Amino acid sequence: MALERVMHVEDDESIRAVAEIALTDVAGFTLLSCESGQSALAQAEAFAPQLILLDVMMPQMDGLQTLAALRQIPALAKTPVVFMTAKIQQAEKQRYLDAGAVGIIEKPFEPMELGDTLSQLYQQHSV
Amino acid sequence: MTIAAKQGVISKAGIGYMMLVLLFLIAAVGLNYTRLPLFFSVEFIFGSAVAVLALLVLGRVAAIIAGGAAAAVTLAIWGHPYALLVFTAEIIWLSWRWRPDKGFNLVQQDLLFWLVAGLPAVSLLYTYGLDINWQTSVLIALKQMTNGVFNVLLASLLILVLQSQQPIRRHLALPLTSLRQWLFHILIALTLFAGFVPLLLDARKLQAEYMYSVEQRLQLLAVTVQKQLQTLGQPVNEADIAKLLQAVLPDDSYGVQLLYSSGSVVSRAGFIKSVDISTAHIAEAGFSHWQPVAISPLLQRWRQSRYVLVHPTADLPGINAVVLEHSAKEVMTKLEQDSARQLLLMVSFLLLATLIANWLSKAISGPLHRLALVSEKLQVNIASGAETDIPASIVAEYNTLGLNLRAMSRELTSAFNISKANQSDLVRQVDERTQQLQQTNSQLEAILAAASDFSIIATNSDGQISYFSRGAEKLLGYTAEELVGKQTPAILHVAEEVEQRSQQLTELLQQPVTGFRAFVVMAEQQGSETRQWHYVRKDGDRVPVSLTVTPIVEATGDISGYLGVAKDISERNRHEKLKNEFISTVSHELRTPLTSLYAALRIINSGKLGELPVKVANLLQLAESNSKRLGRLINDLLDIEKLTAGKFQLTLELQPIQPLLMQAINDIAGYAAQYKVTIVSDFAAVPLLAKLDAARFVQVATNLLSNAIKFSPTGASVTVRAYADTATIQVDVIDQGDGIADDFKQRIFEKFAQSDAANTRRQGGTGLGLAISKELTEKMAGQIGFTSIAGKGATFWLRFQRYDGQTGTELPAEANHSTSLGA
Repeated sequence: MALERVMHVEDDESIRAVAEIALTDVAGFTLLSCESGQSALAQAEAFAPQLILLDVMMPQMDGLQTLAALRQIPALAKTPVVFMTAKIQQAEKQRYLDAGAVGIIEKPFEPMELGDTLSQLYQQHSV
Repeated sequence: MTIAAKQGVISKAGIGYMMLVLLFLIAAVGLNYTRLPLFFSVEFIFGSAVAVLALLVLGRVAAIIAGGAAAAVTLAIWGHPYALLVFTAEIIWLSWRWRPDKGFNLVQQDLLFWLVAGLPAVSLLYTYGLDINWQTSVLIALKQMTNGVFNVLLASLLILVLQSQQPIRRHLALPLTSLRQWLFHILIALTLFAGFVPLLLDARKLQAEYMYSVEQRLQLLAVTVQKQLQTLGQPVNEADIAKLLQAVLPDDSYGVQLLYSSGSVVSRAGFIKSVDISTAHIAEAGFSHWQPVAISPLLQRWRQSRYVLVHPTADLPGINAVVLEHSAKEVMTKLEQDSARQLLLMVSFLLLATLIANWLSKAISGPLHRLALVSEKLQVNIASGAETDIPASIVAEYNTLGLNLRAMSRELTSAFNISKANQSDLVRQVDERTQQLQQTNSQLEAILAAASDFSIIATNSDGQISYFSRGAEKLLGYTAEELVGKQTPAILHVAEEVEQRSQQLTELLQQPVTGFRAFVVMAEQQGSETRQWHYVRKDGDRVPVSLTVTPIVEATGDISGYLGVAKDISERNRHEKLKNEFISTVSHELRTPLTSLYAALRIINSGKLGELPVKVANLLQLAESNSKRLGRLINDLLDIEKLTAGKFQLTLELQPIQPLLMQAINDIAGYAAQYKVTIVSDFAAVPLLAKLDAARFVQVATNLLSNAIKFSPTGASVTVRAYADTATIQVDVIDQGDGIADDFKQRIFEKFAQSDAANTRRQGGTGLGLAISKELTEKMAGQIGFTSIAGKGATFWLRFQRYDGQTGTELPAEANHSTSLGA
């Protein structure tokens, strides 16, 4: 099954904007863009994303916390999650993978390839 | 001459001593009893020789005891006490005069005794006490003197000879005899021997002659008597016989007697003493000397003795033998005179011999004695530098000895003086050096005190602290007193850190490394080692330090200790940490706006949202490539930060190098196309295996390639070569650009180093690429370098250890391998 519905959680406005274009205009997904973990929690279930793209560094609720909270929602318990981060150390990568992420995308990302990358990850990990 | 009367050797009180005294006593008595007749009426007794031996071996008391006992024998044999007195006096005198430590000459002492006391005493005592005429007494005295001196000489010679035997001398702890004593005793002995022996022989010959002539005469008389008796015929009457007998005798001194077989008739004329009138027993045939028994002294007895000839007659009826007697008085007188003469000769010999021996021994030994004395002073003279006066001598050998001694002493003196001069010179040098040393020490102290920001600790080779600088005191809170000579640096370190490092080193070096060795073993191998540790202050606080350990090597090459210089790096660490955090934070913060910046530009330039006017498109292209550059700069900064913080983690895996190179080439393809540079690859066919972190290796290769492309002229080619010898893989990235300027070559791998060569088209580097490549390469246990000739292009090379594909082990270099891979 192809990837169509993607939820993106990112606190930075500009990044949200370019990501939106990359994911909708370029990749053609149906996108829900949230500016915080709380906002995501409120809207996620209703949107029912196939894949969630989570920024790691966010104020108040960071990516990991958001993930943990989202997983509480039964419908999203198994939804593949991809983290996006500006830092990337091997140890941190492992942490995110251990937390249940299926992939990690580094900032700055390739906007023209973002969609394909997410689709690939979705294909690999959707059961 | 000391002999054993060092009472320590034969202790006076010991049983051994008593036994020896007894032995000597018995010997002395025995020897006095056995008399040696030398010539007429002169007998020698040897008891006093034993007494003198006792004196020399056992000491005064023993001598007097033995001598006294021996002298007592004379009372028995001669029947009067005068000899006893004199002999006892003699031994007492000798014992008193004898000085063991001053060269002894008992012979002279004895002679002195006899000349002064003995001779007069005996002469007077014998003349008036025994009623003998004075001439005889004097003779007896002379004989006793000779005997006495002879005995002492005998004893002295015996001791001399015994002394010369090393074992005896050593056992009795005796000093050596002087030459003079040797010479004296030997000369006297020789002289006396040479003199006495002929005398004795002569005396005996004379005595025999006398006796023989008497015998002959008596024999003649006997035959005459016999013949005349025969003419008498039968019957014989007494008167005729008596007349006949009377007629035969020349004078009163003769006597004749006939021995009848019946034993009853006595015919005699003259004096017959030897045959008793009443018994008229048959006497033994032959010639003999009869002495009256009850008369003493000897001389008296002999004066009244008689010569007897018993002549058996076979052809005179009733008569067995004719006995003829002759008074021995005549002969005795002659003998006496002879004896006196001989004795006087002997005494003269003795006195002369003594004088000559005395003088000669002194003369011969004198120079040697003086030389001996001089040689004793020699030592002192040499030490004081004085000239030694060596006596000259008429004897060639002495002179030679003396001259040589003088020459030697001169040599020694001069050598000694040189040595003294050297010594004072040396002392001066030592003083100078000491002063220099002190100066150096003060300097050192000053320097060390000044370096109060550094903790300087020195240890001996076992690790015990031998020096603890002011800086160390300041840093650690201990005083030098507390630690120097008492502790090892272990007390200053964190046990776990030491343990960890020990384990690391044990594994690395494949030998057990523990404790103090953990600090020094690498320093020993490499000359020094700098590592970061935590020191523990006295109050327990931990201080991060950078510690450099060097071994202290002596001129001999031995390691005498270690030097540890440590600097508190907590400030540095803090700064470093802040800096790194700053870089990290900033880099991350920079990435955030960059993300949207780049993404926006990318989307626009992709044309997905519509076409753009050319100029706009160009500008936006410019913007995009610069934002990419910004991204690369941020990446490089983060890499450098990670590398210097040691936070870089590489995963090294055994893999072939060629695919990685291909990947790098592919990644850079766009860049190459942009600059219209072709990339040529020239790889070895066999997979070249090395232990690499794939991503990082690609990063390095990409960096080298991008540099090569950047600095190549348009249309040029960049060649990538991968090849190997048995043990090493080499990758060359060869460009045809302008090469590297000589003044840049030194700095090329430094951070932010960029060539000053004006190559404006080629700007775009961060200046960090090669620094990062170097760090990464070295973290993968590889080497990076370059060759370049300005104007002719450059070759950047990488070298890695080659591994065996099957075993996964390092491949060794060939034995005669000379690097064919170039510099």
